[in-house]
Amino acid sequence: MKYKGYKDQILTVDLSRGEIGRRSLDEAMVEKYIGGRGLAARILYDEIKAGAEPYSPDNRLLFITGPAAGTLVPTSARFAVGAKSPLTGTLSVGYAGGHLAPVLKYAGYDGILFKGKSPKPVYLVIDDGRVEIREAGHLWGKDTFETEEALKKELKGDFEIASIGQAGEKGVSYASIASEQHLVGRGGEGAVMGWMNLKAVAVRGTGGVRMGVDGRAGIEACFELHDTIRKNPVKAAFRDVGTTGMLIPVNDIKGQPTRNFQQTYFPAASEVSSDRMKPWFIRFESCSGCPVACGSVTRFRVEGAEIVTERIEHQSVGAFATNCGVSDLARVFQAHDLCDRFGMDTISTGVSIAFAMECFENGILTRGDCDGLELRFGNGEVLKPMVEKIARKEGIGGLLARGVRAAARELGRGSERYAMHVKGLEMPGYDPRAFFGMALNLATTSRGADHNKAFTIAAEFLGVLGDFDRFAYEGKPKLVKDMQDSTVIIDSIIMCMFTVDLGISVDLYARAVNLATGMDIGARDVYTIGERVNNLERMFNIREGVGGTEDGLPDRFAREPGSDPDGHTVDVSKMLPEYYALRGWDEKGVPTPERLRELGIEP
Amino acid sequence: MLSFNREKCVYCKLCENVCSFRFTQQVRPSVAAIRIGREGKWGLPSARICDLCKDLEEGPKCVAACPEDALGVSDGGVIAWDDEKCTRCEVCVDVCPNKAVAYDTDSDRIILCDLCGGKPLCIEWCPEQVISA
Repeated sequence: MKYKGYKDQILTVDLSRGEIGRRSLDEAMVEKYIGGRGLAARILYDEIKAGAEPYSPDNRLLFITGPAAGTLVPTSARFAVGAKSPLTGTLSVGYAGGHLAPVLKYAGYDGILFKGKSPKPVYLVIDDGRVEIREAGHLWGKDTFETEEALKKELKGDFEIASIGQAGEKGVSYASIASEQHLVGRGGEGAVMGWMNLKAVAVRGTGGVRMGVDGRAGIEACFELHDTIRKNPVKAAFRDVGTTGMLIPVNDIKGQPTRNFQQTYFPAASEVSSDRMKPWFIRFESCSGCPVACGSVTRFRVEGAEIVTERIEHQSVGAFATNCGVSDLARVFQAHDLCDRFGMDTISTGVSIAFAMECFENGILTRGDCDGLELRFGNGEVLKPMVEKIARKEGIGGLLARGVRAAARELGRGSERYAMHVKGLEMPGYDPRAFFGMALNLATTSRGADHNKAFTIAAEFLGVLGDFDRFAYEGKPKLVKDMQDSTVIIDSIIMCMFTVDLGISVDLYARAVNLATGMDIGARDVYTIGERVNNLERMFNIREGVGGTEDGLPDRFAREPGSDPDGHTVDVSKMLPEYYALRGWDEKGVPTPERLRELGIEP
Repeated sequence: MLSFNREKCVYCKLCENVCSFRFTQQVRPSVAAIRIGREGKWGLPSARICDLCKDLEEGPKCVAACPEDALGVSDGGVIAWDDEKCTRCEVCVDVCPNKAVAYDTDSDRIILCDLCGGKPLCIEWCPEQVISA
C-alpha cells in the first residue's frame, strides 16, 4: 500500500467457527472509496448476499475506520459500523467518536469484519498483534457502561471498548453500539452484534500511524485545519449549548416536530432548552484529536437519584421532549441516559413512544395494551418505564422494539398514518414541512430518514452554506444531491459532521484526505467519490427490493400543515424527478448502467 | 519543565499526538514524551511528564541510571540524549518514576521531553491551555 494513513489490514472474525484471519486493502479500492462509509459500502456490497436475512450468517458486521483516524487530522477519532439493518432492510452505517478508532489503528488494523454467530456470548480482545475471542457470559445482561467498566477492570490496561447493552442482546431493531458515551446509532447495528452473541470489542494499540506528510511542514499543515476550527465562532456554540441550541430557533420558526409530528411548535420549549441544562454542567470532554470538546458532562437529579451523564443532543430533545410532548427536562435526560446504557437509538426510541401515544389517544391502543400506562402526550412519567420495556421487549415494548413501521403493520386499524419513518427508520427532529431540502434528503437517503446525510439546515436556516429559501422547491434537488455527495467524504475520512458548521469546506476535506494519505484529490474528486458511494448504497438497496418507490415521506407532511400559520406542507414528489435526473437515475430512481460505468462501479 | 492543569484537560490527547509525530514521524502516542491518562469514566485526566525528578536530591533518575553517560541535564533545563553514546538498553525507560521516557522501535530513538527546543508543540496544540512551560 503506497498510501499512508492506512494500516492495510482488516481483521476477519468468523464467530461461528471461532476463526480469526486478516485481509489487506488494495490501493485501487481506497482511491475509489477512501475509508469509513465508502469502504463499508464496497465491502458490504460484496460480502452480503442479495436477500440476506439481517439475523443470519449471511449478514456481516463491519467495524471500519478512515485513513485519518489516529493522525493529526482534527475530529478524526471516529469509527463506523455497518451491516444490513434489521430495522430497514437496507444497508446501514452508523458512526461514533470517543477514543476507540485511533487505538484500533495503533493496534494495526483499519477495521474488523465479523460474520457468523458464536455458540455462546463472547467478546473480542485485540492487544496489538494478539487477537482472541473470549467468553463473555459474565458480561451478558450488563448495560454498556457496566460492560465497559467491567472489561477495563478485567483487562487491566488502557483498553478502549465498544459494547452492546441489553437492547442489543434482546434484538431491539434499533439497538446501538456504545463506546464510552458515544453511540453508533440508528440502523440497529447493535442488534446484529447481539444476534452474533458478540458482547464487546476491546482494543489496545501501541503502534503508530504514518501520514502523507512529515516533518515540521506536515505539523503546520495539519495545524491549519485545527486553527480553522479553533477560530470559528461556531465552536463556542458547540461548547456552550451543543446542538440543543437549535431548539428555540427551530421551534420559533415552527420547525420543531411536536406530538409525533402533528405540530411543529412546542409551547413549553423553554422548559427543555439549553438554558435549562446549563446549571447541570460539570466539565467538558473531548473525543481524541478534537479541538472542540463539545462533550459536556452533566449532573442532575430525578426521582431522588443523582445521575451523571453527557449533555443530550437536539435529536434526543426532539424525540423525548417535543415529540412526546414532555416538558420535564430531568425525565428527558433520564430517558436519554437509559438509552445510552441499554444501547438503543434515542430518536427511534422516542419516536416509537410518540407513535404509541398517538395510537393511545386515538383509541388504537388501550391502557390494557400498554401494561396499565397512561400513554398520553405530555405524560413524562411514562418515559422511563417505556424505555425499559422496549429495551427488554416486555409487553408493549416488544411491539415498539421493532420500530414504528413494523409496529403499525402488526397493529393495523389506521395506525400506519401515525408511523413516522422513511424506509423503516424513524424520523429525526427537523420537520420536513419547514425545510424542503431536508424533506428531500430524508426521502432519498439510503438508510432512511437520516438528517446527517445532507444537513441542509446549514444552508436553509443557519446560513452557513449559502442562503436558501426554506419553502422553495427550486434548487433543492441540486442542493441535496451536492450535500449528500460531499457528506460521503466526511463519513469516509472519517471526520465529525459538526465540522461542516466549523469552517471546513469541501476543499479542506480534500486536503484532510491528502494530509492523511498522501493522495492528491481536490473538490471535484470529493463529489465524484460521494456520488460513487451514494450510487453503490443505492444499488445495495435495490438488490434488496428497496428502490425509488420508497423515496417518500409519511402522508402527514403533504396533508397536515403543522403549527405554521401559513399552512406549509411539503410534497417531495415535486422534487424527485429533478433529483433523479441530476443523479443520472431513471424515473424509478434506479441508477442507469451508463452512470454506474462513469462512476467506475461494477456492482 | 512543563506543568499541567488537570482540572481543565478534556482528554483530547492532541499533545500526545503531535509530540509523538515530531519525534517519530508518525502519530504514536505510546512513545510520546507527554502521556495523558484517566481514571474511570468521567474521571479527571492526569499527565506523565518529565519533571527532572525535581523532588529527588540526587537529580534525574534516568541520568543517574544510564550506564553509557548518554543522558545529562542541559543548560536549557531538559534532559539531553546522546544518540551516539546510547546503546538502547532502555534502563532510562524503566527507571523513570513518571514513565515519561520512551524508546520508539520504528525510529530507533529514546524520547524525552526537550521542550521542542523552546516552543513546545503540546502547548501550541492544546486547545484548552492546559499545559504551560
